[in-house]
Amino acid sequence: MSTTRITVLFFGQLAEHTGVSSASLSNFPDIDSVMSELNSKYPVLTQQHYQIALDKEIIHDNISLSGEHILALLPPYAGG
Amino acid sequence: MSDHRIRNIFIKGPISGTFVGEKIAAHASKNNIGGHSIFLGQVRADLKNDKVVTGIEYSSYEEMALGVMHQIRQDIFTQYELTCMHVYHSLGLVKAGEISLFVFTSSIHRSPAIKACEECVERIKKELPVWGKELLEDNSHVWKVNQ
Repeated sequence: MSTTRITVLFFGQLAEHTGVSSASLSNFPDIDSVMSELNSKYPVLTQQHYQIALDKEIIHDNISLSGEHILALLPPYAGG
Repeated sequence: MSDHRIRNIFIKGPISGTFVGEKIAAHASKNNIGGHSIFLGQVRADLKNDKVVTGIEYSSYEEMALGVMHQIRQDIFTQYELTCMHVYHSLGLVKAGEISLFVFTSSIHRSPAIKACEECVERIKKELPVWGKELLEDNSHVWKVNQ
């Protein structure tokens, strides 16, 4: 099995509430397993609204992971 | 004209009136343009938790935001007969009363410029990964959410 490296980025209020702006995870097979790890490490996430971007694209479903990826947690936008 | 380069739209701090004026003046030589439309987003001194908002600290997932903005630009140039379109968004602190968004569209006649400008602003607010920490007068803060 190939190594999976995931860099997780936290933005806006998510960075504030978790106290981190990024985290590194290895060897998780899919998005669901990454999110369950993040929810147990940062329980505050379960009370937050956010979208998930995988390699800068918004995703809505579970996706298998291999290789290197950037997973970003994006709270509601406030541009303009 | 539309092109395929990904442009930076972000400016550190507020967008000054001088900057806006210079951008308008820079179009004087493009004499096929018959109409410009400009939107300027300004930071309001709203009341939040009974405290006055003194400014907004903007942050972004810049790498993603520039890709999203590039897609918005491509879509709008496909949809409307524009001569050009310029977008600038602030990052960092913008105080109440200062400008944080500048959208500038131009076309041969007025209609495409006006419609494209409005659509561009709406899409920026909906799709651009930008966050705003509203700083309150007692040094506390709340997170802005677009309506």
